[in-house]
Amino acid sequence: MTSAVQIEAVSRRFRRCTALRSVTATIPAGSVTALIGSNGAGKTTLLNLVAGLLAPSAGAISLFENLAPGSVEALGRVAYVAQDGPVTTSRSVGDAVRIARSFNTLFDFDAAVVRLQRLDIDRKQRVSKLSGGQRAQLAITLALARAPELLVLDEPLSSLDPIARRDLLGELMGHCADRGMTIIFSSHVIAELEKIASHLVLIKDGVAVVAEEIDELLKHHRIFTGTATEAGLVHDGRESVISQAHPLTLAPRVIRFEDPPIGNALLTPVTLEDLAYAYLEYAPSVSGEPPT
Amino acid sequence: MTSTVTPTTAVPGTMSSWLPRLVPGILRLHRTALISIAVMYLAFTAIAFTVVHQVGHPRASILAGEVFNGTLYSVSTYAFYLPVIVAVFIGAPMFARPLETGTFRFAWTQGVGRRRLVATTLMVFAFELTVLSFLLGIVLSRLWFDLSPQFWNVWANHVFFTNPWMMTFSSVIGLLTGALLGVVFRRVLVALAATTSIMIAIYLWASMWPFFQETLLWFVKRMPASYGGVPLNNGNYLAHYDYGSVNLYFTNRFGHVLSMNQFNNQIYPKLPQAQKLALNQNAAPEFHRLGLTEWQGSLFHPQFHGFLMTWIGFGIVTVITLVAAIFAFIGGNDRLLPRRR
Repeated sequence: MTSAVQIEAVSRRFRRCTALRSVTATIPAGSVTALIGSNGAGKTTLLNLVAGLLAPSAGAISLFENLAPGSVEALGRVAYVAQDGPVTTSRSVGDAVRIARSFNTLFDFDAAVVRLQRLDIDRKQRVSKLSGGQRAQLAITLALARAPELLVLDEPLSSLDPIARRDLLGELMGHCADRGMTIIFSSHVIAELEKIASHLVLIKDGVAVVAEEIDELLKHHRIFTGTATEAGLVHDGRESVISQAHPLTLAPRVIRFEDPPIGNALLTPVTLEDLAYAYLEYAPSVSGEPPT
Repeated sequence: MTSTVTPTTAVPGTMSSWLPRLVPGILRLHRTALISIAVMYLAFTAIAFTVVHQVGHPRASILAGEVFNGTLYSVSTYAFYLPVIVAVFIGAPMFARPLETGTFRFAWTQGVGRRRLVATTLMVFAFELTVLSFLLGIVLSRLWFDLSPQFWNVWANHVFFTNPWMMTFSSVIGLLTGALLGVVFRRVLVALAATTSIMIAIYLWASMWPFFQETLLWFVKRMPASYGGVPLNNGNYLAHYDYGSVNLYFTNRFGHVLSMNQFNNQIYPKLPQAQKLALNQNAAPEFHRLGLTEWQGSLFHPQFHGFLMTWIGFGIVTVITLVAAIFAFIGGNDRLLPRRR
């Protein structure tokens, strides 16, 4: 399987803090990768690195096996929609589409116009007058019109209503299937990510605590609800407890097993949401520098 | 409606594949700024042209002793400040605004790439400013020099600064200075304030000290001399010593440097009347007779004006430096991104 993005031991320091610490992850071509993390965990920094807006302080990122992020060759194949969908605000929607067309050698103008019509976004409207959701949709429209091989979306769902969210996810799935497009997107709406994401990168305090295929993750994790005595029944010495509960309580714990457990009544399957909460809440953070 | 992905027939990465597409986008993106520049410069050009036109043929008007329109003349003198306006209101927000609002994340991740985008943006503005500044400068030059007998004094900064070459360089330098401060400060208001301060400082500096003459003599020495002053032995021309403010220097027989002002204050009053008259009529031989020799570079008053030539020299160096500085900030590194809080 070829990789669309290869992230190797990437760290990113800012003047007063370290946003990412030795993050390693591989995003396979054609996959949909969900990037999850709490606020300030380093998701946007990682996406800015992939888009070439930032350079790593250490480590390396390569796109499509050998392209440097931010290079003209890479930018011709990558579309990035930053948080809040920033598009030139002083012009009309129609101008924004024409400007985007002139900034790219490959741009499907008609598709962009059709999508805007479908979304009922007036092309004569100034971008600054659009609602947050409409602006996000405009930015996504301009990105999709470039027919990118890699689409990087930073919290694209946050400003959309539930219907728009559902439609967008369906549309993205369609692009993935039709064009083999690779998608990376960060979001806090975990339940909806589960519908389309095939891979998960989970960042906590600048460290990628999970970077795997979601099916594999779900296969290897289980929820255990029981007493400390019963816990002994599920231990085989090779598992790791992700979410720690007080030993005397019956609070559910998420446990990762080296080998997928079969037929144990004390264990129930996990959802992506369970998994994300467990890792975000309980996975050990790196000591030393304070979280950012 | 059929879906049409616009393809490129040229080789990807070559200038012919992206420049023709990019320029219309730049024009559209910066339409307001570009129109504002055109309106400002063309308005000043029209006013200056009106003054020239009202007076009629210069020679005829001089002979007739006509008095030209003083109000329009005053307005024309404000052309001197156009580069400051360009620097503050066009250059400073050019990159500071997208950096402040975050829209640069859209522009700089498009297929064309950030370096091409920034370079083409600067080129489009520089081209417009060059054409309009030069045009305005030509009209103003005619105003100042052809009609000069009607002015009490043309040896003033607003005359020097508004000839075609200086007007052009001043405008482009203003634009680049503002743009550089915009990428440095990344905030519109701060960039505006910094650019205003810097431009005022440059103007004061240029007006008060002939720094550029001393800095870039390389250009000065190589310029042909056709200034209508006093001819020197080497074929250059000496400005009349009354115009000591343009910074002429001599060295006396002891090798000490003597400015024209010093000469006027310290030596001239002590000269006998006959020598004063001789000096007024034929300065160069008289200077030599007094033991004063020209100091290379500073004494010459080359074609048009030494100050102008040095300004062009300074201008070329400054433009290159400013463009390099802007690209040092935006090209390939990420110092422009808002820092994490």
